[in-house]
Amino acid sequence: MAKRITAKVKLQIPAGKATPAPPVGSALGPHGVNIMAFVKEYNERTASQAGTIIPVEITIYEDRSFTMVTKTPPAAVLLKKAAGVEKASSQPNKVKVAKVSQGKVREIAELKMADLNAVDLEGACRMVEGTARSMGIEITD
Amino acid sequence: MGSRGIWRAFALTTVPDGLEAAAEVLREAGAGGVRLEDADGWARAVAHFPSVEADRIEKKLAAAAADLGRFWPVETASWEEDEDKWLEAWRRSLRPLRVGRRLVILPGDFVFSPAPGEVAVRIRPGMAFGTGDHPTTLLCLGWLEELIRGGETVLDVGTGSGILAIAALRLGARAAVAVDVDPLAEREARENAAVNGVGQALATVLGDFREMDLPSADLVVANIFLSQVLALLPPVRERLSPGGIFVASGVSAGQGEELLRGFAGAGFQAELREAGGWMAAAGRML
Repeated sequence: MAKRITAKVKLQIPAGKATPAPPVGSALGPHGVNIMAFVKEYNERTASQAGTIIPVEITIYEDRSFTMVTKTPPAAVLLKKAAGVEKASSQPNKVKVAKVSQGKVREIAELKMADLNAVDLEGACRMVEGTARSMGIEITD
Repeated sequence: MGSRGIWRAFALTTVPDGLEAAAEVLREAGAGGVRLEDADGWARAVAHFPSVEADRIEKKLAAAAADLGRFWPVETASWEEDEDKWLEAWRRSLRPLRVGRRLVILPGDFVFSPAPGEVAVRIRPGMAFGTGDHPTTLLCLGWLEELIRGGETVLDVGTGSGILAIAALRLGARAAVAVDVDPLAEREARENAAVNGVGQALATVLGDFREMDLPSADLVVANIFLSQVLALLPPVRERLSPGGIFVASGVSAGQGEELLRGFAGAGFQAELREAGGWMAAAGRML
């Protein structure tokens, strides 16, 4: 019989650099999960991607065991990389910090398609564009 | 420290399309990581900050959330959380662990009287890596138990809770230096050393080991992960006394050969051990 799932947890944490500090400890600790086992496994799996953020979805079972699925980096992080900026705009409605081409948005949307809650690629593109706008990143043709 | 273990959580609740940008706002405010949650058709990004930084973060976030609010509806919330509450369930599940012939690792306040010849190491399960319940920690402890004869100097790179450096001292090492890039780890290592009565013999250093001017050591231990361990081989070699030993772990079972090749290439004669899908190696400098 399949084990009963007690919780699903979504985290965005730095690849290869997870520690038991929040959000890991605060999210997993209350479920009695072996925090050290998660930290070690996540870091080992994502070590080669160090320097970016790798989201992870953790499924926790009633016997406190867990499984994890790592995802593609967040759209916001990919956008900053594509735009070559360190930080988003502090006044995104007025000050645009960078430009990203429509083609690049499509590339990010394709990469994120599996993880985004979008019906089709067009929907995914619109979500990425929305994220870009609210970060002060302008979309060019 | 009055604020020990107290964190301030900040949450931004928005529509699902705004969630990525909300998470980014928290990261730009300095969050080490973000938790994403669904909340009845809404989405929420939550991040925790040490309570001492809360006021500064609150101002920063209020401004950023207002800007985000021009694009999506955003609600902010903030509350305090005590790390003891999160860790309670996990701590309750921890039991004393015996390693090799002599070592006993005790979680927190666990009441225990060591038998003659047993060496107890007490580690408070906290926010830094290393409670003894991970195979990589156990493998390293096993090597230390075998290799420490008494009087050695030890360097622990990526010390976390300090467990490996403290165990080395309790087993008879003369002095240990514990290095970590995480200020939380440095603090917990110091506290755990004091609990074990080896506070005087343990020096903690915050920062990148490769950039440090450290005295040479008879034994270096690093439980990190493969790429880090491989990168550490040359600088470790420079800091080892002649014939010194490097104990390395954090390597999954499939990567053992690569680890051994790395050791051999850097001029070490190494031996591998496996436990629970993880590996550790001990190499003697040739």
